[in-house]
Amino acid sequence: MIAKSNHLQTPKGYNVSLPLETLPSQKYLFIPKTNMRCAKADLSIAVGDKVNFSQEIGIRHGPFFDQPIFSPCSGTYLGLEKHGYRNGKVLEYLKFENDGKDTLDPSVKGLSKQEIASLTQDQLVALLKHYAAVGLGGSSFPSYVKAQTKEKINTILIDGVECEPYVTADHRALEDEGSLRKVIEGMIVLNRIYGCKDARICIKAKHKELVPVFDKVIADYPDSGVSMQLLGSFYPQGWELAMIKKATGIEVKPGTLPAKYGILNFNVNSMIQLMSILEKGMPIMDRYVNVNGDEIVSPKTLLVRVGTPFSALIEACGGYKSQEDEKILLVGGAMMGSSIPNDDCVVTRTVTSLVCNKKVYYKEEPCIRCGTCVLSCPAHLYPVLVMKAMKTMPVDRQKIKDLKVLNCMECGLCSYSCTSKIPLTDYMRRAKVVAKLP
Amino acid sequence: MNFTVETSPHIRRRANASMMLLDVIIALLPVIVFSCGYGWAGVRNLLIPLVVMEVAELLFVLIKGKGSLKAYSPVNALSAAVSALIFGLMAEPRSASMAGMEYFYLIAGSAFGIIVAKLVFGGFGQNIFNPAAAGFVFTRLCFGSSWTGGYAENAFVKLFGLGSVHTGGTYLSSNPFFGKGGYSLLDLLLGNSQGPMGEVCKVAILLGLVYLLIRRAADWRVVLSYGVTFAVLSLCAGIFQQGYANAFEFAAYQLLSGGFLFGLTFMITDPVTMPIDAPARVTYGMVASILAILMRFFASNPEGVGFAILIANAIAPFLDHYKWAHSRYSWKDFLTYGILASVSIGLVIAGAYAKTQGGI
Repeated sequence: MIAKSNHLQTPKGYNVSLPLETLPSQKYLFIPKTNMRCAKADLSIAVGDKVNFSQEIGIRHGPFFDQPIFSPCSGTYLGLEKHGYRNGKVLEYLKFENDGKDTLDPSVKGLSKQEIASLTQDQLVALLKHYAAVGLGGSSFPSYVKAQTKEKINTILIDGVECEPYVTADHRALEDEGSLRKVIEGMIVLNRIYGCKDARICIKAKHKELVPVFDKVIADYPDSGVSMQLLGSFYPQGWELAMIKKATGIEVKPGTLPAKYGILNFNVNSMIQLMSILEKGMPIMDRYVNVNGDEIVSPKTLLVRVGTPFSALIEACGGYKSQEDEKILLVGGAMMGSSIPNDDCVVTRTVTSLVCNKKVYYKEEPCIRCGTCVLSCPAHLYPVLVMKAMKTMPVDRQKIKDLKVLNCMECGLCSYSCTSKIPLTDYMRRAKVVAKLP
Repeated sequence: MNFTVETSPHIRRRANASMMLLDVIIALLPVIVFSCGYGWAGVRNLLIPLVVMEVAELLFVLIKGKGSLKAYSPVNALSAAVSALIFGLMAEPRSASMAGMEYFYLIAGSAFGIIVAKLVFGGFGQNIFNPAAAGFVFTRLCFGSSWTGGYAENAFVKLFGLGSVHTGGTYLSSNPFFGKGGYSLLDLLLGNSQGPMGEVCKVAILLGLVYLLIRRAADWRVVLSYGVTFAVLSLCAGIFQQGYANAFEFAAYQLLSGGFLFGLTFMITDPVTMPIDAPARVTYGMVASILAILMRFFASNPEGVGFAILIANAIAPFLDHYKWAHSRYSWKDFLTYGILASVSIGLVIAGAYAKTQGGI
């Protein structure tokens, strides 16, 4: 088939509105000592210490900024333990025994309504920095970098598109009135701080059922400048460049911040996190995670405390359908999510979904030059020419650079759409490594 | 627990290369059925290339795999079958003037097509030239004169009650520019004329074209640019030659005669030999179309579709060069299309004028 293939064929058993459940807090919770962005950490507590809920217990040091570590529950700190991380590596985790009382730390104090109403941009940036707020759509881009812009902001876009199959956590947050209120309040705060009058929640056009909910809630916030915009239902509509292009018509150059073009964009769950920081004085502690896939007995969306092990989530969904079948376990969606070697891993703030599917082996055929990868590429690149360049020895680095491989954000559409089932995204990844070599 | 780690993405589109090749074979079915109406001559034209090309492909895999057939897949068999059927359909449904010559013609043409145009480049997906077109051009150039022209009876045409034997040449071979030949438009549409057996029945070809476009096995951009350019140029020549009143009839004759529709449906749409991105595909279709019409009007050979497609194949890698390949239309593309269109219209009109003056 020679056709632009950005409307993903929905996988079997795919359902946007999964049953919603709150997972009771677990006996043991885990917080990674270090993470993707911060490689070192100092702890201010010792083994056996009592901790309170949301108490600051240490700090991670990274190249850009320091992230404080907050305890996910009240209870006892039991020491370090090794578990898998979402990128497949093994990290040290702080282990806590949960007493189930969620006794708040006395230092935790939210801002009053008046304080929020008079918040300045510098204060906001300081707060985001202190609570180590990162984008919760999956990329974990530090929010304060976006917030500290000095450009004039004309539009604030809140990304609720979630173009990936299986990921429905933002959809859930917008469906629920309580969390939708938080999103809108967060947008109103941003509107005031940046002197902007146009804030939009962007969703997929096919999720029209969210509009009545929004209309009902927005009636309580007259003159807020907040609206809802329906965008395309294709993949990758949630990619910030594609979303901004569709919503405002502005084409942001790859590698620049959208703020330069007067646009501020956040994820839906990042807004909820912002309100949690402002009102409660603590980072997001509970988040929606959906557990899905054809190897899960009863797929569900769960409201989960940060630090819960994956095994508890899967147990709450009835476990795996079979023990012997070869399967893949994904953190994130089916297109860009990472495959992890086992379920010994922990929910962090940036985990949006957990998918377990049967492993499928595809037979690779020779390239028939149908051009579907070129037609489908959202960044207008040439996966097929990159593949040929990578297969030619020695690899011509200038050619790889001329093919602009660094604009690739590994959305996976080339591999997905390839008629011959060639893993083109892998070639793109390798080409990016080659292009980045000094 | 049995977990496997893999790289993203973790889902794939429901499509594969074998399915696309199978679609082409399904699209060829109406033409194949019509060709069988020629009796043994039709069956022979299809079977001999099929055997030759399948054996060559099998031997190629065997040699490449150093004696093992592990790499042989449905794609190999299907791609050889598509080339063989298209090549066979471009052969005449009669005997050659020298007895037994047609067997030599079929074997040599299909062997040349698959070996020189495809296998020496590295097999399926690597070839620059369309194997069927290369085989066709090779045989036409080497021993074409002994096996062209003449009317053959077809059982299906007889069934429609159209089977009266026409004398004289075709529209193209007798007088490509001025006359209409002995056939009506309906004759041409239903296949009651002479020529290569797959190319005569336009209804069967159109059925295949519709199927290919619905299944998206053919890129509509190429089909559209090739067809529209051909129609517009024919119309220009018609207006100049026959006046406004007859220009549309002239264009209709051009579109329905010779190998134009067959080339449009089964040869120009071969994805392996066309450029990769959309703007270049439009250019490619235009170039092939312009060359075909110039050869039809002004060359010594009555028909030029096969030659035009081979030459267009040769410029495809040039259009694909990474320095200027681009997937979005820009003003440069429209400039290219404009230049191509105006130059070709000028050439057609100037050539037609020279012909009326007896210059060519």
